[in-house]
Amino acid sequence: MKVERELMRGAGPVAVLKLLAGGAKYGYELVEALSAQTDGVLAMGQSTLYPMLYNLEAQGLIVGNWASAPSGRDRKYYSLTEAGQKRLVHDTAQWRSVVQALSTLGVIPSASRLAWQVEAT
Amino acid sequence: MTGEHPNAHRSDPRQQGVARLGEEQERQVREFVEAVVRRTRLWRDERNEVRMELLHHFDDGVDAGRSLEQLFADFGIPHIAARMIRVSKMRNRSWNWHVRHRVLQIFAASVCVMLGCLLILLARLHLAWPGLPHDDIGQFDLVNHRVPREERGWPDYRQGLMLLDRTPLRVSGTTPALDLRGQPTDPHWGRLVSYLEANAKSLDLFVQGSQRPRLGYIYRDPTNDPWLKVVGGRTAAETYPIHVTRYETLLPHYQDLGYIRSLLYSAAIRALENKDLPSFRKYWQAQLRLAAQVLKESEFIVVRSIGSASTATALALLRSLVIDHSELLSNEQLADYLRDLDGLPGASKGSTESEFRTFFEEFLQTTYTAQTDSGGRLTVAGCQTLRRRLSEVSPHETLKCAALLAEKEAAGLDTAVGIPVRNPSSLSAAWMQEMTALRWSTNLANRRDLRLEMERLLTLLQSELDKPVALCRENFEGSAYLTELQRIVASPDELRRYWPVFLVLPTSDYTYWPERSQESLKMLHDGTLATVALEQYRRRTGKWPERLEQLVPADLPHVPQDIYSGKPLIYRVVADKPLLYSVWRDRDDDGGKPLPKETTGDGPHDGDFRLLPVD
Repeated sequence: MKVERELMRGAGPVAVLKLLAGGAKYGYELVEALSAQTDGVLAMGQSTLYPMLYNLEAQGLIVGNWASAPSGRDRKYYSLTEAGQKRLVHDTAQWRSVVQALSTLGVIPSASRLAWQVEAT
Repeated sequence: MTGEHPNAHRSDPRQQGVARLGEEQERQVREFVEAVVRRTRLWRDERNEVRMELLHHFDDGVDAGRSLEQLFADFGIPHIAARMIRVSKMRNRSWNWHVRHRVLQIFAASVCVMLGCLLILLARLHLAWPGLPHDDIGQFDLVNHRVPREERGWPDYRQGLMLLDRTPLRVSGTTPALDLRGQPTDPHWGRLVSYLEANAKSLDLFVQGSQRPRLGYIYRDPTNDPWLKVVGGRTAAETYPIHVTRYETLLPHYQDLGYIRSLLYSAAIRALENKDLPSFRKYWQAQLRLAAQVLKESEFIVVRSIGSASTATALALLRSLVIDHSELLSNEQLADYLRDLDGLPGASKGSTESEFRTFFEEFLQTTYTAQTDSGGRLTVAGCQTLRRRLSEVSPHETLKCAALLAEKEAAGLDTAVGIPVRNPSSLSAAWMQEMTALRWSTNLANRRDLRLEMERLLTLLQSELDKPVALCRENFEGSAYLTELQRIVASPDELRRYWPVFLVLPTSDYTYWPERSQESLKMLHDGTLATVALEQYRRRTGKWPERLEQLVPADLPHVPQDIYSGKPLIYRVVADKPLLYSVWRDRDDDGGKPLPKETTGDGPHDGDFRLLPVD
């Protein structure tokens, strides 16, 4: 299931930041990771991903550096900046509040809520 | 951060290529990516970087075992991708580029807004038309079309004018133009007498014309064409087109009537020189009747002034005859002249205020749209009228200049000739005219407000005109009317809204000329009656009276008054000749010293206006 565009606009950046928190990644790697790790829910094409990366770069949350891969091909690797890390912490807290609120309303099943809570601890 | 991207030095992605793809697939990928990159319209370095990253993305996708079709499908919509890439990449540009970009955006937006407003205002101006076609000349002619031919003097005058030899009236080589007014003492008198004799037929026709009760000039009369061709080179239809009123073209016949007046005057003088009293009376009466025709017919101030001047000249001639040539006159003839003086139209009072009102209504009618709830808007034709009127502002009218010169300059009108109203010679002149028109259309009061302001000022003017000359006429400078005009001139906001009223309203005391000339004429008329009465008294008693009061009531119904002092005209006997004079405008008694020859309507006057002796 793919999420609505507006929801994607809010969730996409924090998802990318979260993935980059695990280490520097290039564009296609991010596309693959988003698709695989979210069961395709947050999968996005190049037309969405690259503008999002450039925006995050413009905000100083990530930084891109060209480097040669072991295959010899040049790739641009994006990594989290200090500001990006702070933003990730802040956005994560925000999303948890949202999920908690939705859970309280019964929008999100309690099992999922528990799963989130477990992960939070 | 500058526009130069830090990674611009990276190797050309085209060289690296998409290695695992076949040639055709590689071409497809490159074309696809190039289409996106081209649409981003980014700087060259930025495009290179995006291009490289996207190509590698496809390369990585193929490496991961994805088909090209799948990668194309997952990419998203290319033109949206290009737009989003452009926006996000531009966010990465330096802050000073953003400042410049924002300033340019604001500037461009402002220019667009201003151009939009300008176009709307221009369209609004050009779509405004005068409410009703107005034809002043048609209205003037309507009156005289109703006058029977036998009551109109103009056809006789015109016939006489066509017979008149105009050659001596123009400068020819070293010979000056002949002055049609003259006295036996003038150097050109001999030439003038010859001219009078050569044009006796014209003089007869002028006398005949003066015997008709009305002048009866019809502007659009085609029978005037031969004469109009002579004086102006154009026919009546060309001179007076329908719905176009050019006031400067309305007076050609009055210029020629001036010739007639001068010829009648000189003919009367010539008759007096020949002691030919019947001829003198014929030409003298013709002058008076011509003046009466003019005064009766015209509503124009300048024309009333001509009529008044003509009457004044005839009265002076009679005073000269009675005192200087009394031996020619019998008591019966003296009585005849007294009867001629009865019922002179010169005593009738004109209406300066109503004339200004008429002119202003005509002005509004031709310059504004019809008055509506929103007031009535200025039209393009109105702007042309304003421009023409501004170019005609007389420099001696100082207050008008103060009010209008700035406007004239702002309108780009040369103080001497002005920019041509039609067919502007250059694009810049046309543009300036357009912008001036736009400024006027947005700044000037609407028709309703302008009329209200005019009404208010005319009321003030009328209250001044209603005051007796002796009390207030000379205090124009301190009048409430002039004070109010000066207040408007001093107020930029009011001047911007109401300056056209200065094109119509009088702003100097020449305003009082027609009023003054009418009242002055009354004084001259009474003074001439007093002159006849003095001669009657002298014939009866053998001497001049010591005081004017001695003439009342046997020879004179009342003592003639000086309109300037509000007292009787000053009279005494000097060297056995009567001296009768008015203190004139400065109200100073200068002992009967004559006024300078060149006396204008304005300024102080050292001297008195003498009725006797005739200067």
